[in-house]
Amino acid sequence: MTKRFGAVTALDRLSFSVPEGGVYGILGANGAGKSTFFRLCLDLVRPSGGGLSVLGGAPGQVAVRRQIGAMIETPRYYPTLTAAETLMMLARTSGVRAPEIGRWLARVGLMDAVHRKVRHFSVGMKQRLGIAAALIANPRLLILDEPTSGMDPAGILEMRTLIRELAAKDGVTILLSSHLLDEVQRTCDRVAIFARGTLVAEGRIDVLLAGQEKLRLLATSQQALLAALGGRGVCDGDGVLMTVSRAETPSLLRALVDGGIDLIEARWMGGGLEKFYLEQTGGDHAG
Amino acid sequence: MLADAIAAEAFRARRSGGVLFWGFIAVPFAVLTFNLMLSSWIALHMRMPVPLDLGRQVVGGVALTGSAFFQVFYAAAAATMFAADYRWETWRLITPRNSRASLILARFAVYGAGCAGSLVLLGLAALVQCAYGALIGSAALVPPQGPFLLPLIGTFLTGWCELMVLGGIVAVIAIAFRAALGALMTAMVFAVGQWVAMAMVHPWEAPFSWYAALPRLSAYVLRAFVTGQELAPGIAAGAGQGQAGVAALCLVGWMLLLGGCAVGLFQAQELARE
Repeated sequence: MTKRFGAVTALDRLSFSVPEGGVYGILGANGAGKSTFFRLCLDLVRPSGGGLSVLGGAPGQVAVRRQIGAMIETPRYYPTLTAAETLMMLARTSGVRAPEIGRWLARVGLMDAVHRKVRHFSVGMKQRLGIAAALIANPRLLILDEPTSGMDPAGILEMRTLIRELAAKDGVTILLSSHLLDEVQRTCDRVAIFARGTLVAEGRIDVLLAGQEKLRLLATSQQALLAALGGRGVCDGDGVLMTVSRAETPSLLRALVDGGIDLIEARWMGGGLEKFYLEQTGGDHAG
Repeated sequence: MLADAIAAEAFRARRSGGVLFWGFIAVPFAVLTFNLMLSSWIALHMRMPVPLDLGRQVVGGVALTGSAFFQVFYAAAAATMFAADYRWETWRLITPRNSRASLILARFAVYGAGCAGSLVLLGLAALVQCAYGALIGSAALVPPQGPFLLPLIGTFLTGWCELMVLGGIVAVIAIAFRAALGALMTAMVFAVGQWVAMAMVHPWEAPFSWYAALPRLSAYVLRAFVTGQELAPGIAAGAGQGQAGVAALCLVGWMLLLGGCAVGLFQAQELARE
C-alpha cells in the first residue's frame, strides 16, 4: 500500500499483516507515517496505490468500521458536551442502544468527571476519555495513537494495565503507536517500525531483540555460576553475561536456583527496543 | 445506520443551546417581541382596533422566512452544524462510526427539523400576537376570508424548502472549504444577491424558464400561488399555475442537488486534516 499527499509520499509500498489478538505496536519518528496508516485503517484517507483489508473487509465498509474503536492523535471533542454526553453521542452514532458509559468511564478513571464539560478537561483526562470513547462500542480492534501522551506516570501504568487486560481478557486486538519505547516493550507482543514511510522491521519483540540483549547474573559464587551455565556465560566484572531469550529466562533461573546457585541479581543489559529502533531507523527523528 | 446518525446528531443539537436559540428560535422570538410592542403602541395611540384576519396573519407569519435578513440566522445555524466538526476537529471521532452519507444526511435531517420547528413557532407567534391584540383592544379579529389551511400548508412547505436550499448551499461550502464563516458569507451573498436580482429584473415579466432557476424566485412564485396573491400589481398568481409547478420542481431540484453535492463531497473528502 502506498499513500501520497501531493508530492509527499507518506507511506511507500507498505506490506505487512497484523495477527488477531494481542497488542501490536507501530513505531516511528514524527512524520514516519504512523497516523496516516491509522487513518487508512479507518477510511479517513484512501490509499494512492494498493489496498488494505481490516478484519477481513475493506475499511470503507460500515460493518467493518463498527468493529473498530479508535483514538487518532490528540482526541478532540464537542466543547458543549460532558464526558457522559460525549460517550452517549458517540455510542448512538455507532448504533449502540444501551452503552455502558459508567463502566468505561470507571475503567479509565474518569468517574469523578462524568458530568463535567469536556472543555474543562486536562490533556490527560481528554486522553482517558478518548480511550473510553474508542471502547464504548465494544470493538474487536482498538487503534490507539499515542494513548499515554500527556498522562502522568500513574496514568501510564493504569493505561498499560488496561491495554494488557483488554487484550488478554476481552480478546481485543490492539494496534498502538507510542514514542515511549520502554512502554511499548512492556505492553506489545509485536511491533512494526516505520521510517520515512517505509517498513524497516516487523515481528515479535522477543524475536527482533534476540541476540540484542544480554542477561547479567550476579551470584554469591561467580565460578559456580559459570560452571552451572556450562560455557554459555562470560565474565563481566563480578557477574556473568549471557545471551538468552526472554522466553527461556524463567526456566533458566529456576534451573540455576534448583541447582544450588545463590542468585543475587538478574537483569537485562544493553539492547532493548530503544537500541534496536535507533539502529533500524538510523536515529531518524523527522521522517 | 441513518437513524443512528440522526439520533446522535439530534442528541448533540439538543445540548447546543446557542445554536438552537440563534438558529431557530431567535427569528420567531424577535418577530413576536416586535409585534407585541407594535400591538401595544397601536392600542395606546390609535384607539381604534385594526381588523385582523387570523388566517392571513398566521400565513403571513410563516412566510417571514422568505426574508433575506431572517435567512441569515438559519444560514448561521446550518454553518455551525455542518462546519462544527472541522472547527473542533471531531470528524476523526465521528466518521469511523457510521457511513459518511448518513452523517451528512443526519445533519440535514436535524437542520430540517429545526427549520420546521421555527416555522411552527412563527405561526404560533402570529397567533399570540392576534390574541394579545384582541385582549388589549388593538385588533379586532375577523374570521379567515377564503381558504386558510391549504395556503398555510403551501406556505409552510415553500418556506421549509427554501430554508433547506439555503442549508444545502451552506453545507456544500462548509464541506468544500471546511469553514463555517466562508459558508455563512456565501449564503448571505447568495440571499442578498437573489433579492437584488429580483428587484432589478422584474422576473414576473421575463420568460419563466430562466428566472425560476433562482430558488428565491421559485419560492416567491410559489408563495404567491398558494396564497392567491398577485405576483406583481395586475399580474395574478393564479394565471401562472404552470409556473408554480415549475417553481416547485426547481425548489425541490435545488434541494436534492445541493444535498447530493454535500454528500458526494464529503464521501470523497480525505480527512487527513480537519
